[in-house]
Amino acid sequence: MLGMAEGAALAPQLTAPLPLRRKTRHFLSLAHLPMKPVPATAGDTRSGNANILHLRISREAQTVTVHPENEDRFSLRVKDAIRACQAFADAKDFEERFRFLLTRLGVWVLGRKDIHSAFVTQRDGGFLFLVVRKTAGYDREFEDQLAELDVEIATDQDLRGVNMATLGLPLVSEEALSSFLSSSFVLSLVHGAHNGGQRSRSR
Amino acid sequence: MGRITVANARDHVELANATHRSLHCLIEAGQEHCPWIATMAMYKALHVIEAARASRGDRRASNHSERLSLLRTENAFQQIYKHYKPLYDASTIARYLSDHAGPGFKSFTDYMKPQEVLSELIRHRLHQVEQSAVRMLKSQQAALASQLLLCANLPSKLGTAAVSTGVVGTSGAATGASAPSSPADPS
Repeated sequence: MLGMAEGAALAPQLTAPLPLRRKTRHFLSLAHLPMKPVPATAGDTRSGNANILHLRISREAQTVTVHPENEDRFSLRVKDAIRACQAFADAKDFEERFRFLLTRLGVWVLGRKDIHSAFVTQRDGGFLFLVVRKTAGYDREFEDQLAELDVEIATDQDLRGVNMATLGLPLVSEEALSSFLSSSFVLSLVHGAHNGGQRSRSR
Repeated sequence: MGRITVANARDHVELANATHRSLHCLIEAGQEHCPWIATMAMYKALHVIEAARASRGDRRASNHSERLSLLRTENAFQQIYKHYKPLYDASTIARYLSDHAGPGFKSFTDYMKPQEVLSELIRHRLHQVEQSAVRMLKSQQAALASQLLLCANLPSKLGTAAVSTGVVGTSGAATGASAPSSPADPS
């Protein structure tokens, strides 16, 4: 895990907006990922984790943004994802859709109060959106809404070709969680606003 | 170009019914089997869905991942998917998650109380999958649809049968167990 100074040194300042398709207009600036590093926070043990790359999601007014903590590492992860999925000959096209996917997921996570942590990882040749709830018990409403999200993403023309499954887990320890995460590809979506939503992780 | 293999809907109905009978036994055997009741419920749903897909001439899914992908992307199956997915997830949690040192969930009972396994996974989720699938089967192969055992015929309460030998009895002696299922009335 890169520290703040190293991340700052590596992070490029990209300003060109990504091309937007139909539905992205709802999010307008959501696909524009600010390319600035997210500083480590006090008590953050993320430095002990070499596999998970954290993406900080935040909402300001009507805009949701997703900040990779380190853009270079994020770009490498995107290339990993392309290799993993082998569905896209056009890497640029894939990256555009992948960033849009992350924003869609970020919007969903931000809109909920029952989520402890959320990850995008790799499974069975596609992606897995893994959501850990704050409670241990089954929640019918949550399951229904996660299935709805699943269908929406699977049928979104802006995300065609992106194969992603979802899985909701009850509140578990990081050790138990680790068996559901790929050893090579994990992105963590964390609340960017207020550190109360920030969760330290190590594997 | 290879020939597309179309699975036999009848085979899937038979597999669904065999799974149904095993599910019946597990329910009679009691709450210690809840993780496997959840898993059996998912597998029964799987065969019911594959029967419906096969009756339409759809290609058989070769694995869980492909099946989930097909269900969530095909309009005709999205409603089924919304009930199958919680079954699939519950069975995943039942089979792969144990966290006795964890902050919340420790075992499957923390996720779902025994009676909730019946009321939610069997009476709600599996029931919804069956209803949708039977409608599809009826439109394609009505006679076959009538042979599918339905979860409405499963015991409504978990049994208390002792399983000291590891062999689950099927006598229906367990408390609250209903009579063994008979072929369902498709109506």
